Amino acid sequence: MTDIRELLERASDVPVGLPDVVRARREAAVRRRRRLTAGVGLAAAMIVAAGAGAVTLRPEARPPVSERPSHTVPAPGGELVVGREYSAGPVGLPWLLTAPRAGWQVVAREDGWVSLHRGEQRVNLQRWTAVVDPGSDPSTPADEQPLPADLLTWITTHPRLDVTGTTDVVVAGDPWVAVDVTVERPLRFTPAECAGRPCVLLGLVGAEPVEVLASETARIYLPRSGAAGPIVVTAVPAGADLTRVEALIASLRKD
Amino acid sequence: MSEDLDLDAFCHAQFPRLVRLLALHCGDPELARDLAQETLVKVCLHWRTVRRLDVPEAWVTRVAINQSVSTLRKQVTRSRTVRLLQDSAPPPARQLDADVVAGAEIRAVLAELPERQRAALILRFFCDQTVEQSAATLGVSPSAVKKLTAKGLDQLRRRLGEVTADMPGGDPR
Repeated sequence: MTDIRELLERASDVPVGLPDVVRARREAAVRRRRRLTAGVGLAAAMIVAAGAGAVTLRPEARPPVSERPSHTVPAPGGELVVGREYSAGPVGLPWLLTAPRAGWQVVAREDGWVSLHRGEQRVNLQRWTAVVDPGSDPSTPADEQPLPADLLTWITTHPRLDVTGTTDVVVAGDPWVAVDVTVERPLRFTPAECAGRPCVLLGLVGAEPVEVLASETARIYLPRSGAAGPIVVTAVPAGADLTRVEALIASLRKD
Repeated sequence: MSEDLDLDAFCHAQFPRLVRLLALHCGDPELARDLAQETLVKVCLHWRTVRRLDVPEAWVTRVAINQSVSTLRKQVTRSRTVRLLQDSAPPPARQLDADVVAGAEIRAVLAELPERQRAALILRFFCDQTVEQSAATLGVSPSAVKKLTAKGLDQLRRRLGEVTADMPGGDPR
């Protein structure tokens, strides 16, 4: 007579071996850099091709050198230098930004995501790849869904968010809308990804969830058309003002 | 540096558990090791988020199960072919060991269960997750987990016969 736990224990008794953590780290680093290196690789290929055909190539056929003085957004842990122009282009975000004040630190720089923190203020430049279905039952977890055609409507009708205001704004020269949201009260389900803090998951950048904490006021900037594309998700502690965050958003220009 | 040490320790601690649960889920110990290694890549990739979670093991379990589901779906035709070949081949020498045969047989029976029933049984009785935790891992409601568990146990009982006579009921917790 055997119970199910014993059965599963027996069935799972397989040679385990050791993990190759070094290889896992390396593979993760490769995936992180894949998008960056694709661009570099293309440039390298062009240089090699130019080198191979050096006899026949004229000088003007060489790859043009960018005249733009912008810097790439620093790696996580780095801080933006006040007044210096940074490009988020290498991670697939079509913006240049300039920190108007000191203290903005880069927390994430990944494909489709630059996260900047200044104390408890957060600015996330993002390109969502999917959304988290809010589900009809707030006590249950939800599934990943494709990006909706109209992201603005999706956010403003999200059942687990309270929209406290919408404002027409201009971001990088385009007409956008700033949507102020807070998490619904009471929040009856908190996903595991929220690390014990009540939060709502909105979108996904790759496998990374985009969260809004119940303790925060979030302002989501997105095109007035609702069309899919890069957006900006900002958050400050509930009740704090958004002046510093707005100043950083105001610095965004098209790359 | 301390973050690196934490990551290494976490990966080493999780790997045996991942291989074993994936072996149950996908039925193939070798594939289980590959999937566990791939899960560690995702842990490294998302360590900044994972390390902040209250229960990072739950996230890792979900990633592992999802990978297994995805891989099995992609390889369904190939898997069937492999299984047919294995059925027709003489048992390899190492399967003469009674425990190994029993383990392989149980994995084979598990593999015949619908994917969500199999996952629910593994989460509930191998990972010792509560109904709510399993619901979060599978992305379904707690009542759905209870139904999946009950049906899975029923199927397992029928297929394995008296060896499972004292299995718990469908809603043990």
